[in-house]
Amino acid sequence: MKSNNENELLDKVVNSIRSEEIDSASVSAAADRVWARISAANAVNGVNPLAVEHIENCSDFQSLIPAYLSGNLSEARSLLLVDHTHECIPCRKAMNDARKRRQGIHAAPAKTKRYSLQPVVMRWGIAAALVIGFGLLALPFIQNYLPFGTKLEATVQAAEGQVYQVADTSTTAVGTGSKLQSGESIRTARDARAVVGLGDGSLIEMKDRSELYLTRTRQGTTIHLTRGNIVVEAAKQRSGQLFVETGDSLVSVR
Amino acid sequence: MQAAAKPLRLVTEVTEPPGEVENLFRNHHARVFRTAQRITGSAADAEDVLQTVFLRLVKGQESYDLSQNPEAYLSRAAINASLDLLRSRTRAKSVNIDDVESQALASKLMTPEAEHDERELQTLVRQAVARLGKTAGEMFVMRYYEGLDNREIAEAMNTSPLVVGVVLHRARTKLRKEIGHYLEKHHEKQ
Repeated sequence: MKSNNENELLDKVVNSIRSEEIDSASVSAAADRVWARISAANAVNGVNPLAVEHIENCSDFQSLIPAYLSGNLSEARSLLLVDHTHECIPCRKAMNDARKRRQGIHAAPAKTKRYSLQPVVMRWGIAAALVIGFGLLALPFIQNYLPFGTKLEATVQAAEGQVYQVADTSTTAVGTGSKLQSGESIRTARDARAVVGLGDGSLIEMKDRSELYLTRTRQGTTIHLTRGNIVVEAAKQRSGQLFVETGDSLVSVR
Repeated sequence: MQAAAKPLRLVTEVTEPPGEVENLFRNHHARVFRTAQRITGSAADAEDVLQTVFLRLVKGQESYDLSQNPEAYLSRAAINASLDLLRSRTRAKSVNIDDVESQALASKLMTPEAEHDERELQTLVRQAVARLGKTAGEMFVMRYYEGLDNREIAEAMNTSPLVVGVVLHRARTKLRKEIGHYLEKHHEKQ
């Protein structure tokens, strides 16, 4: 009974020894150190049986590869070996194989990535940041010079004689009460006159043979006088300014 | 002058191409290391054994034939080198069975955890296996650490399965006699 119990205990301990986990990484690390020591010991003692006194053939060259990779081969022989591998495909292959094996033995446990973001995501992120940055920088210019968020209010309050609205493809007569859109030209013929009222209360009196068009940005309303004469009675500007632009001058009223 | 005309190899004992040793190392180092660690219970000792085994090969101190199962050869070489290491250590320390008990009890006091208990038992068994005879120790390791059956052990050691069975039976009896009551003591304490 006692013997059986001892047997069981012995089997238990022996099984625990047999099933003991041995870490592959430590095996590889130990193998690396051992192979380096074997190579080094042979090279230092000068009794390397793997080395040959005279290099005769590819086998001799290949026998030098381990010492070369571990840095224990003399400079002269290293040069010979490297030179030979440049012209000999089997030896070059043997060198590459040995190097890969060595790297495999050297391989450390996988390094943890410092950045979890993928490169593609990083690139897109940088691109998006640049676009947003440029957008923020350009926003004041966009607001000042483009007619976003603003509406031009201009009405022909009086038209005397032939007054025309000139579009790209057609010219139409304009009467009192007509609305003017941004960029649309209005022209007075000979002996004609017109008064255009703006939303802010300003009045533009056009003499005969005059032409102008209006634009509006966040900066204010601009009267572009392309020909003739006008008299502008500017109202107090609540926001922005009122500009009058001719071919050679630009004046503004606050 | 003739010698200069005909290049001489420094060592001619090594009959295998040099790359073969490296191939052997690459293919079998893990097995040698694992076998050695099971027997010695120490990664540092296993590393020493790995170095000893392959250094002997490289220096031509061992005659071997690659055509005859290098794995079996290297496995046996690892077993013998490992047991030799344990034996030399035991001799150096002049450990007898009473010392083993006192060491075990002392370490028991220092490390009362169950995990350490198991390690102490493993150490006891490892040391006792090393104290078996050379053949018995080798057979015991092959049978119980490596998991070979009697027939495979007989083939590897060029003997009959019947002999293997008898040697193993005697080895177990000897182990029980030597460390059985320590095993039971530990078991009772757990």
